[in-house]
Amino acid sequence: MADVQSLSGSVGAEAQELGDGRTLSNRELLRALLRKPQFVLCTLLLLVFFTMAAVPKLFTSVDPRFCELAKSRQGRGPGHPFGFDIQGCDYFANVIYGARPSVLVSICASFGVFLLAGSLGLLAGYFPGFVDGLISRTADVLFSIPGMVVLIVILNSVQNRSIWIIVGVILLIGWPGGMRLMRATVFSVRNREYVLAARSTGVPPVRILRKHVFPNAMAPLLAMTTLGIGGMVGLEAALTFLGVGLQPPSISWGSQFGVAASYRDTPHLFIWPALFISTMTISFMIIGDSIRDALDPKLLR
Amino acid sequence: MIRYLRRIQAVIPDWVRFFLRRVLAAVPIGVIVTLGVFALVFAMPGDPLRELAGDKPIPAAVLAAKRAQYHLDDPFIVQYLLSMKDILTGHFGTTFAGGDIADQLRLRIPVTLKLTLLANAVQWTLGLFFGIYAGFKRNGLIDRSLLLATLVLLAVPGLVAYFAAQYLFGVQLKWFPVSGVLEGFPRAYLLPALVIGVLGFAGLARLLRTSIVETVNADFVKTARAKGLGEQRVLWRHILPNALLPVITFIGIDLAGMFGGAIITESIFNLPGLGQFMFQAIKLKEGGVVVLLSTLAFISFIVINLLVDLLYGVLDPRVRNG
Repeated sequence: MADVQSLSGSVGAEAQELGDGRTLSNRELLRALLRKPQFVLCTLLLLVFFTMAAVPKLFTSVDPRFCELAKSRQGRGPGHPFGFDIQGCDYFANVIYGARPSVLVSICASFGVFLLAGSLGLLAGYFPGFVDGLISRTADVLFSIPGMVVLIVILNSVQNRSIWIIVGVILLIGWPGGMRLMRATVFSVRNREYVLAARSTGVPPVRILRKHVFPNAMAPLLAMTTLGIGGMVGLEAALTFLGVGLQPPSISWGSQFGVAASYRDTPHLFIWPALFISTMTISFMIIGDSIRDALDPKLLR
Repeated sequence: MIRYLRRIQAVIPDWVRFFLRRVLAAVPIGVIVTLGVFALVFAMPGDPLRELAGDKPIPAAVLAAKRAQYHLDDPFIVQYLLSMKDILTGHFGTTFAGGDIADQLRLRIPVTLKLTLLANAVQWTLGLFFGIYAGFKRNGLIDRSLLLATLVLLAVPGLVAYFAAQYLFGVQLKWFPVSGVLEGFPRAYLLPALVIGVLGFAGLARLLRTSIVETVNADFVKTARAKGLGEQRVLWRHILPNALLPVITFIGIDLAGMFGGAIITESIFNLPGLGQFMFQAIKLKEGGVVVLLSTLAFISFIVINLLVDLLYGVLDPRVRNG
């Protein structure tokens, strides 16, 4: 399912266990991660994708918008390893340039959801009563409508959809799952000795939240977020495929799927973007999985 | 008065009280959800009837009659209340294009239900089997390959999996119809249901595996063994009911997400179900239909949650008696 909420739900349930137990310092965490070959490999792959998104010219010197209609849907040829798309543009260049929207949307949306869900969860967990009620009831409402419907309705009414508008709408509906996870972890942390000690010495609440509660309660949400980044890549592609994501002049893997769906006799139109997008989402998933394993207190014993 | 109420309360069985409380709690959320969705559709730019007509000019009188029929000239809150009245009294009316909405629902609900049920059957069978097997034979060959396979399955975008399966098994191998429902119930639904089920079982199997590993080592299982219970009884009475608890929560969340997923699968496999209906209605700015379908999705969400909670009560004595 490409639905944001169901996605966060399924990984959230697995990440829930990380709430208590001793926490690793950042350096210990990094060292544990670097010992895993699959983590290193996937990080390298992602670095390649990030460079591809930032400077596509490094990978191809061909202009993706230079097209000769006569070559429409031709297979591979010298200098054109992936062949041509329906307009006769070089497909390799198009697939390379398609990395940018996927990387931008997934990273920005995931980071934004992490911040939003994290801060709302902190507030809801630390201030029971009115604040908690307000945030939790809003989350209940958002949980009870299919997120996909809200996404499509809002995006459909926007005339010029940019990457930032898509990220904004994902933020709007994507936070409840992470918020609930964070709220539950904050509940288990808020009455620990170090928090009580800080409160009794008159440390202002904002500082307590920032310095004491957040660092000790963020691990489950972090694991859930990294496991969910790959899903965001798929979500962007699905929205663009449905026609409510990025629009034609911008190049993206989602719109390449949309085109490939109507030209089944030339499978290379589908295979290449599919290969790229799957490599990217699987890399994100393996990294998320490694981080979760490294944070899992039960494996430390 | 209060004493009188207390006496009534004492007569009502627990489960009825639980049921009533949940339904009453759902009403305000339902109002906010439908109002919100209606407001979003209302705020969409453009005139829905003009777009429906395309390039041809509509006579002013026809336009006025149509606008009156769909209450398009009324203020927002009046439009919303009229829509809700229609939904609650079962007078669904017609779509802008003239189709009877009740007929559409009668045709489309079975399509989505068949797809969802078949997909869930696949997902449950695979998930329970592999989850339980891997949980009991931890670190075996099956367990290790399952962990790797589920990681890949969780990561592959649905869109890629649907297209790849459609191309491979539909276009190339011709095992299944490529799209549409012309070939009737099992055949036309098998391919999409298999893909949804296989993609979905990964999460279920992983969760069940973790849960079983934890339950097998729990103190109450050791106690049960220590007092001399047979292995079968320990398994069926002590391990499985407890290990299934997190899985039930997962299923609830998963079923609730099915409607959103149906929008994508039904559009790729061209299945005329509710997801497709919803997508067309949004594209045509048919506020009434969008709100009607959202209400349906909301009601099914509430019912699924209720069932999950009831099931939880059956399995977990702490919930049942607390």
